[in-house]
Amino acid sequence: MKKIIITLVGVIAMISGVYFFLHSRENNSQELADGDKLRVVTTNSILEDMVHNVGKDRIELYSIVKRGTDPHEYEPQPTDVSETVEANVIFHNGLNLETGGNGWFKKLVKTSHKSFDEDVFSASKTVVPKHLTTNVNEEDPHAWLDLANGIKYVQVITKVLKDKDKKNASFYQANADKYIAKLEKLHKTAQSKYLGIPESQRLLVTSEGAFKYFSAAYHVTPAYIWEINTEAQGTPEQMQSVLAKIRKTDVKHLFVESSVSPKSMEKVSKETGIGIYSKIFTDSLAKKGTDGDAYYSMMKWNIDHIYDGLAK
Amino acid sequence: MTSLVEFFNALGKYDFLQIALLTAVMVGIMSGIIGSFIILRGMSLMGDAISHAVLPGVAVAYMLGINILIGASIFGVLAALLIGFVAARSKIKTDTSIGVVFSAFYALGFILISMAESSTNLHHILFGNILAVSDSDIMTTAVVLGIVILFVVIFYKELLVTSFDATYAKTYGLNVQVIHYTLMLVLTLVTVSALQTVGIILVVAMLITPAATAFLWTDKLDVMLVLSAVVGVVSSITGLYFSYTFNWASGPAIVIVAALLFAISFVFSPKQNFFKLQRSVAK
Repeated sequence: MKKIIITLVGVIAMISGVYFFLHSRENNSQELADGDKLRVVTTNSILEDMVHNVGKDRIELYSIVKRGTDPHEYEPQPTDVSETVEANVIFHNGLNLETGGNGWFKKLVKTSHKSFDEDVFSASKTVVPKHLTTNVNEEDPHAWLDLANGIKYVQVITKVLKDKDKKNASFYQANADKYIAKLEKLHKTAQSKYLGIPESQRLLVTSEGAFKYFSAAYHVTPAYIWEINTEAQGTPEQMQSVLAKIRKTDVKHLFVESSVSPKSMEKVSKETGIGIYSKIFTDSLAKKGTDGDAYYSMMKWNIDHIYDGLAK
Repeated sequence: MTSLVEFFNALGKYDFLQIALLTAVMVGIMSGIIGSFIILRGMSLMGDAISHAVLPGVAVAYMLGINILIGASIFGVLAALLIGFVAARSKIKTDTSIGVVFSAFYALGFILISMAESSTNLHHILFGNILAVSDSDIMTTAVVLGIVILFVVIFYKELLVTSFDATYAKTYGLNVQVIHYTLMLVLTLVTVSALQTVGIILVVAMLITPAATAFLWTDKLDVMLVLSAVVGVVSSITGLYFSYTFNWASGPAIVIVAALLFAISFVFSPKQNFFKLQRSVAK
């Protein structure tokens, strides 16, 4: 009996010890000291490239999800967490990209004691969201595939950087103006590019339904096997519906995304006898040094390859 | 050596590391203790089975809007009961019964989840990452650890006898069934709470590997319990150190360290007698 009482006391002491430990912690918000570079963390390589184009060498930049990895679902590594703790500003895509799925980003923000809109910002804040068709309450995250939205991302990023690091404000603004002009030019050419292809051929077939924004901006019709990477991929029903859509049109080629397994699309290609033209980029940039390793070159790659694949 | 200093510096600086360490140590202790009983009873894969079988509970809890831990625990216990029932009432042995029941539960979970049409991926709700443990999850872990310690202290004699000799326990007048199912309930609590904090690989490994390592060194239950908890704690701390230094995923790093400790014990434990066995085989 005595042993049980001693254990009980020990157990209660342990639980209350843990409780007091949890409640004695302080919050750590990072203030920018003089002479220090602004530390910026982005969730994926596309945002990383945008921030790099605005901040250049006057910021320290770290990107969490590595190139070629799917940002919908990710498990942060120790460095990801410590970089986030140390960061002054954190950019994420928003629109459910990082907070859907296993919600890893929300947990990361909580673990590193940051707060949304104070030091964590959504780059898509000013974008008009499109919604999923299977679940209308949910936003489609892939807004950056429309360059007009990409420009909005850059504007949001620039405004935040200017606020957080006032002494470099004009530097950031000048970089952003130059970058936005470049993106705008590409956007203009893409808007009229596809109109020359007969409408019955203008069906953009991909694995994930990531091209809603792209399609609306550049006048193609999207078709996909599954709508978003977090849901079941390649069920019989999904296969049937994409095959039916393809058979109604004269589409010449299919496409597969760089960060998705090509298996399902290969099956569609076999069923229909239509070849896969090339890979295109959605959630991640290409490896450094290869074609498509920046937001601009990735969009250019997509626009050119999709055009060639649909026209030929 | 510098990396060791760096690790301790980081430990003082980042509270995500402190939390990860605290959680890993608590999970190490509770799964070391419960794991000892599990492997002595030849039910090593029970933890694996339960961690998969809770999936329908997660889906149902989500649909009804109740706490996921409650839904998961109910289905975990249900699976444990069913596994025991099938094994006791047929010629089928426990390992086969585990295979049938847990895969059926897991499949049911998948179908329920697709019916729930949730925006968040429910499979992942359960599978935590030790670097992102919420305060409420730590409190749950602390309470479950308390329950485990109390359970073992109060029912030590009963657990000892039923683990080694069930027939003797029955003649001795013990209700073997009640003790078995209480153990299953506690195992479910451990599994479900640890799933949320440390993820599935770590739960299964922490239930089996430290206990198996301790078993290589001793025949006494009380020594085994303490040793198993110690191995769990040492693996947690060392694994987290490797994870931080080399930027490995934390859960798998802890598992690898535990497996290394097992391998060392396998070769050097006097009880295991690896070298002597080799020699006699050679002859």
